[in-house]
Amino acid sequence: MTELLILADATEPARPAVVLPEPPTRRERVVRLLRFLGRRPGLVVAGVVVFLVLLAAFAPGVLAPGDPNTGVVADKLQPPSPGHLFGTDYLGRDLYTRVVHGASLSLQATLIAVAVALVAGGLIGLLAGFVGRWVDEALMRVVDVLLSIPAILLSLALITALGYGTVKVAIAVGIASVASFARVMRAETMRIRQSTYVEAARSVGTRWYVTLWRHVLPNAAGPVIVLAVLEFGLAILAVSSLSFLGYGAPPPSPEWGSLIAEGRNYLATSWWLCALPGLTIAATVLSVNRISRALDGEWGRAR
Amino acid sequence: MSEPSAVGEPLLEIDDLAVSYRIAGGRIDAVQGASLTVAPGEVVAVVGESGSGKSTLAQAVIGLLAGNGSVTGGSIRLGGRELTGLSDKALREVRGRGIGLVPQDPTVSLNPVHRIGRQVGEVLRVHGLADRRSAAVRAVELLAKAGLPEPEARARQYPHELSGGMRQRVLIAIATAADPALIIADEPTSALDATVQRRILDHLDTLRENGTAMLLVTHDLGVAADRADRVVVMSGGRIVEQGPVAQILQDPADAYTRRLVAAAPGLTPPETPRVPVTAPPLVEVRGLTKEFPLGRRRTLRAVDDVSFTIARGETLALVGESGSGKSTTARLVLRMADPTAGEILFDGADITRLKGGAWRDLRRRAQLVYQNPYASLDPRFSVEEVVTEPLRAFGIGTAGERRDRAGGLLERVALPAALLDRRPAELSGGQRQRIAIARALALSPDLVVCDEPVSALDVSVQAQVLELLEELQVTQGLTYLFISHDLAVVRRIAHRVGVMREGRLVELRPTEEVFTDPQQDYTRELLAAIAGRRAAA
Amino acid sequence: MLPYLLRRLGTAIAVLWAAYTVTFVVLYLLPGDPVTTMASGGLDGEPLSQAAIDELKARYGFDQPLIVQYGTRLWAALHGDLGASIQTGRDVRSAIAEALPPTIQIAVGGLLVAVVLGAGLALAATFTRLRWLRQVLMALPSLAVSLPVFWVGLMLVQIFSFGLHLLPSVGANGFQALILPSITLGLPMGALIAQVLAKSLSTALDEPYVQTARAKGVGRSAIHLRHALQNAAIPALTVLGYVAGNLLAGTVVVETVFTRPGLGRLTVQAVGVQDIPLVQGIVLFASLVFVGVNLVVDLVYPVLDPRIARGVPAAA
Repeated sequence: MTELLILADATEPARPAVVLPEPPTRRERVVRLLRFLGRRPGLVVAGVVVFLVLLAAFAPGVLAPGDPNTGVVADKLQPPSPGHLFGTDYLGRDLYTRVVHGASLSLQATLIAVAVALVAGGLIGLLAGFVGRWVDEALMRVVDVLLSIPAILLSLALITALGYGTVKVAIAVGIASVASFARVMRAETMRIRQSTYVEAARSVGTRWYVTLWRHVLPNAAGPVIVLAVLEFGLAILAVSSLSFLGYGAPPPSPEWGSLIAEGRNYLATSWWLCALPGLTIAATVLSVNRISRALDGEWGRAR
Repeated sequence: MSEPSAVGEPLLEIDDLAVSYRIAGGRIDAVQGASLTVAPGEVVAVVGESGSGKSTLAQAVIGLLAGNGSVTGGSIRLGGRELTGLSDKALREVRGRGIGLVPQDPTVSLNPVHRIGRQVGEVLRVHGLADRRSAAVRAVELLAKAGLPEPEARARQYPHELSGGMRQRVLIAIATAADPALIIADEPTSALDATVQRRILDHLDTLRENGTAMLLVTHDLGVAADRADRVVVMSGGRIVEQGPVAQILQDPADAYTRRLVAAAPGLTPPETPRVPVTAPPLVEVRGLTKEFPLGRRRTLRAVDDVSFTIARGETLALVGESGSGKSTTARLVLRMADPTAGEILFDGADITRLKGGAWRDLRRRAQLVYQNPYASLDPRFSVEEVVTEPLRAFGIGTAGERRDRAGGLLERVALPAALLDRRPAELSGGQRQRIAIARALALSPDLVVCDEPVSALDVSVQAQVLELLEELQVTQGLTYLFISHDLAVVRRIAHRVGVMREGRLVELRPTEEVFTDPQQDYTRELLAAIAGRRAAA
Repeated sequence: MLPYLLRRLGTAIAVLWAAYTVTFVVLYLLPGDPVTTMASGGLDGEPLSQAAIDELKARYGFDQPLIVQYGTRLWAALHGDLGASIQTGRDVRSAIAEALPPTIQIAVGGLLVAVVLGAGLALAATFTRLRWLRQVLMALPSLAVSLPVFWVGLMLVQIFSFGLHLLPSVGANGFQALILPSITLGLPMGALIAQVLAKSLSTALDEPYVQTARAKGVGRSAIHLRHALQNAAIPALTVLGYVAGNLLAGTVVVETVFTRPGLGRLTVQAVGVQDIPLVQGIVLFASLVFVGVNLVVDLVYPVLDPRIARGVPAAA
């Protein structure tokens, strides 16, 4: 199908221009989607990983019915086995259960961070890009300043002022990445605002707010969503770093970063306590990035 | 135009060549069964529309196909030596030394971070024809030979400091530096203004004096007719016809070639020249001026004291090269930009300073069709949304009525109503431009401003869109302000022509008078630059 | 050239001032000043009497109106006085200066790792003709940026210190103790450089001027190094500036993982006790480094691309 389409396009009609390819039926679309995924096994795996992580975050009991905070001291520091997939920690708690239940806090923080960055950064960028002139100048200077303070230090400054806790860490991470969203949103808004089709809309008498709603937002959404997905991965890393440093939820509630911090004391003897939660984080971020890349490619081709 | 001698070995021999590109999930056969020859000193033009495979053919000859392209059959011989299947190292010796390339767009074809002299000298150095010092000296000589003023100074400059025409001369100097027997010129002038285009083509002509052969790839049959000994016509990856210029123009055997010849605007003047319209003016422009600030205290006068009228039902064309102020004038007339001075009357009313609601009301009566139909339609809109956008903006009709109206509008631009649910990406360039015209007609305007409406389209599609515009003028009583850089296109559609240069309207007269009896030197220069004039004469 | 330089310098100063203001707003305007925090005994201290609180507030100037605090502190900062640490009472500037040397060691080491790794990977990935090798090389950076930095450090310790007994796991003594922290710090930054440089190299290699060079008969490696690399360097340089400016931030985690003394550790401690003057001092110092590094980068741009000094936008 793809091939036919391209061939038809390559020989741009020299005949009266009413020949056009048939629109794909629902079945053809499904087939095409399956073929698309079939050629990208990595993307399918990434999808499965993200699904499992989301499941762990919203319904941890489904994946790990046990209690993450109680353990059998006699079973402490057991290496991974069929009974304890990820082994046990120094109190004999099942590490797999703790990682699954930790997803909830870690993901909650990540979602808050991305939401803060997306909403604040998106609005700033939209305003700067659409209004232009001094508003743009002023907002972009603020963004430049935010960019000139390394993100983790800005987060730390915010934590100093706000105090500890998962939500506060999340807000700190979110604010630290407002600037990059504002930049992308502004660039997209400007690109679209200056595009010929927006001028065309204006020249047929469309009002500016209708233009903003019907042309600018839908067309800018694509790249911003791609960034949001990418930012999701970065936020997981940032949140887990801060929780590793000890600014997140107080023990014993499990969080991915603090699990690794706890495991650190047993690094010489019990490798799994650090390795497996870390691998979980890495797999999640890797999957999210893979999906973001797929979205990016598709948006690129759809345009 | 001397016929090349038939005796002796051909310089370039292409035999049954096939080239294909690998794409996701298959391959495209871009060139199939192509055979042609170029004799020493001969100029052969390969003509075709976009997607015809002409550029692929040229790239295959010099061994520079894109990464996913490959020669899948046939042979290419240069001076008896087979080029297909040569190692990269062996091919490198052919490139530059055996075959020179003049690329398509001079503005992006020179390395922006190297000086001109170094880029010219590089050819000599990679082929061991000069060392560092002598390469610098030879580079200046070559630049001088390519017709660049002050070649020493140019050699020390960077590409962005030179104009497009000068850069193309630099590229010609590069292509000819190592004295190749064959030059491949891939659309060498399509990115340049008409008068510059002509000078560059004239310069390329002088190369044949040294016995250099040329394979000239072009979409413009007029250019081919003017400059080549023989013409090869390609369509859909195949060579449909080839022969001497006169034979192709006067007695084309293939149906596609006949259509191409008929559609080429420069070759065939319209049978019935358009007679000026006598009617009261719809638009009156007096002393129109527009200045843009250029940094501190400097201004660019884009439009300089321009006055004209457009009668009801008339087509007035404004012609000029890039930077002449023609597009800015169009925007001022539509009030998409604010003039610095002067006044604009629309149907007797002064619209020079309209604001707010009155400005919006003007949108109902004056509409714009853009140059690039790929950029002027929102990619996320369906055709229906595009065409009904003006109706929605003014709250005309219910959704159902608007859809009916959109169907009717599509019919008027000769498109099936079935297209309403499609997206622009699914349509061809010509179809998109029809959609854009339908959108402009939605509010039944009096004036339609067409800003280069066909210059992004293939020649045969161009002809159809122009026909449609003419037809609509008759049936809808439209008035056109038609902006174009191409005098040949203007000749078939305009009643009167205004020639613009550096912001000023230098000549404004009925179309046929401009063509038969131009008053200004600049107009004469523009006319002389129309490709195909030599062949038609 | 001079106007370009002055403009850049002016921007840098303005950004620093604004960074001061932003940190002031964040640290002083948000609820809870450090004295109150200390007074409530929130951080392992005895609750203080009201008189002691007032005395403390007066000593650090927290009893003044905010705008006055802002003015006096900014004026002092302009003279190089960033105030005194609340925790230790020491001068912030000398606290930072003292913590700096070990941090500079791993920062330089990390930058070296990042540049060598990033540039090497990008050049190799775009130069190779083997499709599978290119795909593998291009996949490495996106893998590396997905790994939590602290975890990478811990795994390196696990393998090289506890497993193979090759390198020390903690401390700042000698060259050997520098290797693992430098790799940990440089790995994600190198990955970033590799991604950007590989992308801009392959973009540059698709440009028409590269086609012109090929048509001249120029060889593959000459095209890569002489034509494409210089054009591709601008985005890579931008990222390098970003990376170098963020080195200090990276040391926060790395120094914690390897239990090294330095600015990163100082930051963690300062945040832990809400030592506002010290945190502000460190953040300001970091943005001073960021601005300084990027000023240098800005000065290198015109050398690489002649269009920049003349105000023509680069095609990058």
